Amino acid sequence: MDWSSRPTPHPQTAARIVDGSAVIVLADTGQVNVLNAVGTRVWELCDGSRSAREIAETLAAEFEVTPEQALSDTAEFLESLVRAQAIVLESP
Amino acid sequence: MSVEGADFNPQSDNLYNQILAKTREEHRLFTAHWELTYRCNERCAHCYLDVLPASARAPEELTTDECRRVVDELAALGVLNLTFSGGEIFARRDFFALAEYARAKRFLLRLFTNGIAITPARAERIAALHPYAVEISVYGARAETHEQITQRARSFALTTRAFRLLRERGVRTVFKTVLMRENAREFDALKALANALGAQFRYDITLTPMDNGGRAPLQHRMAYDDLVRLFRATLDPAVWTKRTLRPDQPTCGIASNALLIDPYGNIFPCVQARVPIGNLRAQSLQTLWQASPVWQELARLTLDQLPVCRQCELNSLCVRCHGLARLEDGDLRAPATSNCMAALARRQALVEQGALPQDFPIPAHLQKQSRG
Ligand code: SF4
Ligand code: SF4
Repeated sequence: MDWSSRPTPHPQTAARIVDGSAVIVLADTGQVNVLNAVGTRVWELCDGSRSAREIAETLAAEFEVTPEQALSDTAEFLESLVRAQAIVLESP
Repeated sequence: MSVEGADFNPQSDNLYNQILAKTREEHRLFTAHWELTYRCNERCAHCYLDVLPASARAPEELTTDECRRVVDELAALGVLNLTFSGGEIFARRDFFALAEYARAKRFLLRLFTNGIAITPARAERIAALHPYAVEISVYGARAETHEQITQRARSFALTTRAFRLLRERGVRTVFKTVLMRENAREFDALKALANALGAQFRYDITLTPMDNGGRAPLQHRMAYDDLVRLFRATLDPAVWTKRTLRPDQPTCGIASNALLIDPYGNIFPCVQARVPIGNLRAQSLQTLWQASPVWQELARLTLDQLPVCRQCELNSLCVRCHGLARLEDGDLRAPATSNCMAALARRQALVEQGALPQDFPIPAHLQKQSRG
């Protein structure tokens, strides 16, 4: 995980927050995904304006977990979003 | 914090369906169909719009800035699905500016077009939009049939080229046809052509009077025998003989989670039911969506509110449309003549297949038609 990279939506991604859940559609494959509360928060933070590290720090503060836990959970989730081509990691 | 269960899971179709159902139940706007212009580079014989030439000036159309504002309002209200249609969308010079603006706001786009203006350069720009699908209208499996409808020379070659250009760039295409008197016998060939072009095949049997009341499109309707033939080939008896409608349920999704915007900013419930709601130049989308009494009135149009249809023996074989009833027969609550004909043809096809008994009832008001 490059912690200085800035996660930003992949060009194929369509999304809306409905009732606190991010509904994400991968337009190229037609896959639909609905995220839970934590996932939705990560998604909102992936707007290209902050680094992966800043996202992990925000989550640690908001969800009262240790910084280590937040880093490992964030890395795992961001990587799964990258694999699904829902986000891209822009170099700083 | 735990990301357990928050993993990016491509299996959430079920959750998505729940969200969709919720938007319908709670009258939350989720889908918008936007006719960007009534200018068009074809002149389809069956078209329900009073279209203008592609090069016409249309000063009443929403300007680029007004359209951007509407896109913002749609996003703010939570709309995810946005369809751009026409007329012909590429008759608007600012089409890409608008579509790119909408994509930046993360809408899921569908584009309806006749495809004839899709050049390699435009296909590139369309691919970069990552639309969910580009739906292209084709009216014949041969140039002659297609162009008899579109009344535009070379349109068949240009339209079929559009499929290829988009497909080469990985864009999902839908081959959309309206079955008519002129092309009903080409059904299999149309399907084969869609397949050869790598497109999903979709067809409609609905032809409607023009929005201005003109009835010319109706002369292109399939003959009753062609309808029966089509249903014999396509209906799944297991589905249709089990279909039931609840009297207290709406017969379609009208006024639940979707609306139509016309090129001049007028809002309607859907393509067929042009019951005026208001205009976006005069009021905000939020006000029109939340305060207009029309939505509630339409959402109350359950089967038991339709005096003839609720007693009709064929209602479980009918795909009834309030909008069509209003256009064809002047009343949202009336039977729609063409829906009646289709239901009757479905009955006949299912009887011939032995899926329904010979004496399956025919409602009194359709006895005459059924005898031809
Ligand atoms: S009135 Fe007709 S077009 Fe409108 S939502 Fe119902 S079935 Fe569809
Ligand atoms: S067949 Fe005609 S009368 Fe019967 S439900 Fe359909 S539209 Fe109504």
